Amino acid sequence: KELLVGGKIDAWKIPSSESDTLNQWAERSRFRVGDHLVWKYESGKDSVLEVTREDYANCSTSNPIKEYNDGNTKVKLEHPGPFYFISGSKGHCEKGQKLIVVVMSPRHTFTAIISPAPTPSPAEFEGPAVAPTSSATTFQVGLLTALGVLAIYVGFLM
Amino acid sequence: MFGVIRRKLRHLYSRILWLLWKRPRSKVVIKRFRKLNFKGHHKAELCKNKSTSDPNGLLVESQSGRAIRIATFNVAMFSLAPAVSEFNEWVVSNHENGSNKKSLLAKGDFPKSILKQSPLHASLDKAQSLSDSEILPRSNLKVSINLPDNEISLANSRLLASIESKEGTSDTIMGNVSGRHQVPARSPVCFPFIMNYCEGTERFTCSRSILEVLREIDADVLALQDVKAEEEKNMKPLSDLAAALGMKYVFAESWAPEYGNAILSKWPIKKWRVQKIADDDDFRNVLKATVDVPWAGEINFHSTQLDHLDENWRMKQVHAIIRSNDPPHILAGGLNSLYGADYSSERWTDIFKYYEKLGKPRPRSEVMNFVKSKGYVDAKDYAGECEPIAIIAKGQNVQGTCKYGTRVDYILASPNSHYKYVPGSYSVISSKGTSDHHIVKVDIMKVNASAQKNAIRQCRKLKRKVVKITPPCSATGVRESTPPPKIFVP
Repeated sequence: KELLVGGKIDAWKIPSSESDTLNQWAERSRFRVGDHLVWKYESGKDSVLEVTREDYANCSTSNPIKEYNDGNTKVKLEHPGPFYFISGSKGHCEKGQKLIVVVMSPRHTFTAIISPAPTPSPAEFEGPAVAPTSSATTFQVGLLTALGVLAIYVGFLM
Repeated sequence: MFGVIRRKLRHLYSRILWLLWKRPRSKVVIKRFRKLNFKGHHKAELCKNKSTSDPNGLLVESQSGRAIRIATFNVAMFSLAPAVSEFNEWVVSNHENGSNKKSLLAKGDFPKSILKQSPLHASLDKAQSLSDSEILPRSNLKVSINLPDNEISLANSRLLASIESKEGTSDTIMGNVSGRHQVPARSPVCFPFIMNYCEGTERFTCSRSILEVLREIDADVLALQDVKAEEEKNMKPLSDLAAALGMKYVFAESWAPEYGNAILSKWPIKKWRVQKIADDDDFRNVLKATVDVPWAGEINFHSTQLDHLDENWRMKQVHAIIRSNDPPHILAGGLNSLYGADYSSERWTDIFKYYEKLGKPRPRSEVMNFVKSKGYVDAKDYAGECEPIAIIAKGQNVQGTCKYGTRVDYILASPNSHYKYVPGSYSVISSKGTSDHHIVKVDIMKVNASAQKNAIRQCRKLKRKVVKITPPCSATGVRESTPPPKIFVP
């Protein structure tokens, strides 16, 4: 499936208003692995750069992942996740000519869910305070028993 | 033979006398009395021990009245804001570059800041800090009287401004907002002013990170959507964010790889599971976690994000959620559906037209109507009473949670929930440019039985003691009966 970026032929340009940004087009579209994005622009005047997230945020054109400037660019979305595209023309990205495309996960690779097992911290109760008291109780009971037996013994002898 | 016995008896007798400190027979009887007194003293000690445990019980009871703060936030980490600021130098350089490069950006591209807080919430914070001096009081959130500028209102003001004959009317309706927006259209001389305004705003927003925003909320349990967590990098940046907040986390990958739903908690997460609500072309899920709150017991917390475009798919997803027959829980996240009662007919028409213009699907409210018909309680109904009057004038009685000014992020309590919302604690807090969405926050408290008999109280105290003693004996002790097993609906 081919998706014309911006939904029309002349979309890859500085947005004319806030209600016509490229990301708004991306928000109302679904992207799947294997889809192709198509850019139509005038060769020599503009270009398409695929960049990292940081370069997208800073509008940095010095180190793109890929660069296209043939006027009729077709990019295949080969993996799910976000793609970041900006214009290579000077000053265009700062004026809003940039695009985030998030590709949905395909079904057959969703067998494993990344879920780390949390390690619960030990509960903070006052349990240790109980043990010494019960131990002391047991000891004193034993002492009393011994004294009682001894008293009986003495009585028997007398 | 007799003499031998006599000698042995004398030996024993002298030994016994020595043991009894050589006292006559009559004093032996007195010692028995002393033994009885000693037993009585020991019983007194037992009574003291029992009485010392009562303050603990009272303390536990008083603690059960504490509120638990929960929040939900669509962080949209594939967007611009970092989770945690890495280095000051990097931030400064990024800040400078950002401010220089973005100074020419149109004003509308900057996310708007929406802040509000009710006085009831402030007094509640004071009460909490007074009751527990050990825990730091939660930071009071600042109140801003700026009107919320969402895109729909901006578009409307622009449309009104473009019609020359209605300029006076728009001034009357929109007030300062309209005037401020009309300035650049009237005179190019004002453009430098706009540039300065944008630069200032950008400097403010560029230095924000998700960590700073969430730290201000100081939530106890958090539901995050569109969170990034890379497995090969030890679940960064989510693990960094959780560590910086001092919280434990669970994560479930959702509709894009490495991005999904997360639940963060200050207390141990006893168990969690992921329920897929997938369709053929969509892989949303519900992340369900059971958090062990020290004074209130268990709380089941669910985090989800429904489809962002198609209401029919949202209905399928919400059916799957409700059909799973969970125990009472709190459902938080981006349901991405509107609730018709929030908006006036005029406002709904504006939203409708704006969505149509953008090419987005029309706004729908079937999901929220269905959820409410199933008995879920909306946290919005416990908002503060000082809603800005300007919002009501704009035709909606809720604070928007996304850049369109509509409410798509919800906190909902299931029917028969053990928790209730604290009145006046609901609030929408600005994400300050870190995301397209804002943070929804509310406090909950456990529902307690009002009156009990003395015998029942003693029985409960006894049970509590048993509960306390069990943990040191067995590491895997079950403090409460486990909830019924959850049915997985494929």
